[in-house]
Amino acid sequence: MNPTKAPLTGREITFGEDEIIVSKTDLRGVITYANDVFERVSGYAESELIGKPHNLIRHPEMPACVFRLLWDTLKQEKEIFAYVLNRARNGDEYWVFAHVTPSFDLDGNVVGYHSNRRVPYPDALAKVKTLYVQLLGIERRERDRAAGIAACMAHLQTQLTAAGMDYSEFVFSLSEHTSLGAVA
Amino acid sequence: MNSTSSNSTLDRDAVAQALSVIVDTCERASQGDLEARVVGLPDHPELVRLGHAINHLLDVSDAYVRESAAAMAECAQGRFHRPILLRGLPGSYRDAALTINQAALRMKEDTERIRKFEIERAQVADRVQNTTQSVSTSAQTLDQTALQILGNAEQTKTLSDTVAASATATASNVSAVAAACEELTASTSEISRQTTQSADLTAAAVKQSHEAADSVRALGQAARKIETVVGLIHKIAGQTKLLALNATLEAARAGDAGRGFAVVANEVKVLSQETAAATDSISDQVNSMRQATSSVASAIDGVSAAIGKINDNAGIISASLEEQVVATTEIAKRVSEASATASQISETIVTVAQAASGTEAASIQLKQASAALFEQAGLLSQEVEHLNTSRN
Repeated sequence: MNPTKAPLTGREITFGEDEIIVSKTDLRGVITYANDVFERVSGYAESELIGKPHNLIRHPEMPACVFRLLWDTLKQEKEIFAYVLNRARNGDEYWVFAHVTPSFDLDGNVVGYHSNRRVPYPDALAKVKTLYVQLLGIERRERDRAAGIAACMAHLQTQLTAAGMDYSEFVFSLSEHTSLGAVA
Repeated sequence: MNSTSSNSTLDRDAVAQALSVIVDTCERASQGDLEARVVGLPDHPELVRLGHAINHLLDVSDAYVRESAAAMAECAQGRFHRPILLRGLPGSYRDAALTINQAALRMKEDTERIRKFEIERAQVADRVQNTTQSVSTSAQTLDQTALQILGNAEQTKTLSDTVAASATATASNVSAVAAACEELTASTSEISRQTTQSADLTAAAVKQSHEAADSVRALGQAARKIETVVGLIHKIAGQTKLLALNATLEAARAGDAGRGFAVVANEVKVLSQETAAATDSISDQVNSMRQATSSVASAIDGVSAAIGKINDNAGIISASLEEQVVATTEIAKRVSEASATASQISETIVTVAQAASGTEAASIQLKQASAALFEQAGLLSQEVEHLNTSRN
């Protein structure tokens, strides 16, 4: 989609803890809105984002099964949280704690998706990085993308069953800051 | 409406169009449509700032609404892992989010308490139900046992009546036997006394027959002595006859001078012949006497032997009688004991019959109690069932 993508720099950038990167897409995942923080951190202008698929900022070191889980969950009209590594226009990378929800019109129909991305908590991020390395390893052992995703989903499900949690409980359990009693 | 101009001056139409977009967005948002955003304003610094400011306001409001709605939706499902994320929510939004998170935390604690209480209540209900069931089962068993005891008591009563009757009959039989024994003892004693007397008499008879035998023997001896004397006389008579014959011969030689003498000698000869004849007669008499004596002696011996035999038999009878007396005494003693035992059984069986009546009454009460217990357990079970049903 974007032939001008710069090579990865391996440089990590971040944004303010009091900021939220906001975007909205239509039902196909085409960007319909991006806030100024999105523009600043990703390095794209509004006009470069609107009408583009959201995977514009996808980083290659993200396990594909995370996005499969994301879309599967959204199709059920449920919210989902995920720690995601994004790539900026210039090849830099930034971690976000993404919260994606369906957007409903006043009649209750899903009209698109909304994403709020926050600076991730370090205690959660350390665990997530370890997990994603595992998932990427599993994914790349398989002969094709579909098999890789299936193997990763199975692995994730095994971990969740062992922990006695569903994915939502798991993702909130990763940081002490995402508990009910947290004040920061 | 997208302007490519980057300078700060815009024509009135462009400004009006941008303001229209902004106003439209604000109106949609104020109607509760938080999807509205200001997008595609011309590249004019002031307008872009205005657009960003409005969008930021909407983003924060949108975030707060999505967060609080999603967090509360989870709470409504009884799940409390999902707080409102505080990052990116400033000021009043954050304060409100904190308040909601605290309320959710309180709901979580209450829910956990209620769950714990429900589990405890369920456990208590289960325990009560189990106990009730066990009580119910016990009551049924108790009922059966009471029935069995009742049956046993009735049987015991019947049996004790039978035993009492038997004991009475036995006592009466034993008394009859005791009386018979006493009579037997008395008659045995009488027989014993008479036997003893008879033995004494026999002994006297034996003694007398012995004396008779002795007398007969003495008679025999006397007869033999007589025989000896008779023999001597006979011998003397023979010698006398021989002398008389010689004297006759001498007298003949002497002639007439010896005539007188011849007469005497002849006389002597006749006398001696008579003597001899007399001794022969005596001898015959003595022989007859001896034969008679001998017969008497053997008759006496026969009598004596018969009496001896009688005496022996009398002794055996006497010994048997004594044994019989001992045996009869023993029988009498035993019968007396049996009589005492029968009386004791009679007394005891009355007590047993009374006890059986008591047991019968008690087992009837027990049966009533167990039926009541069973009914109570059933009611309790229904109560617990009701409790469990109302819980779900």
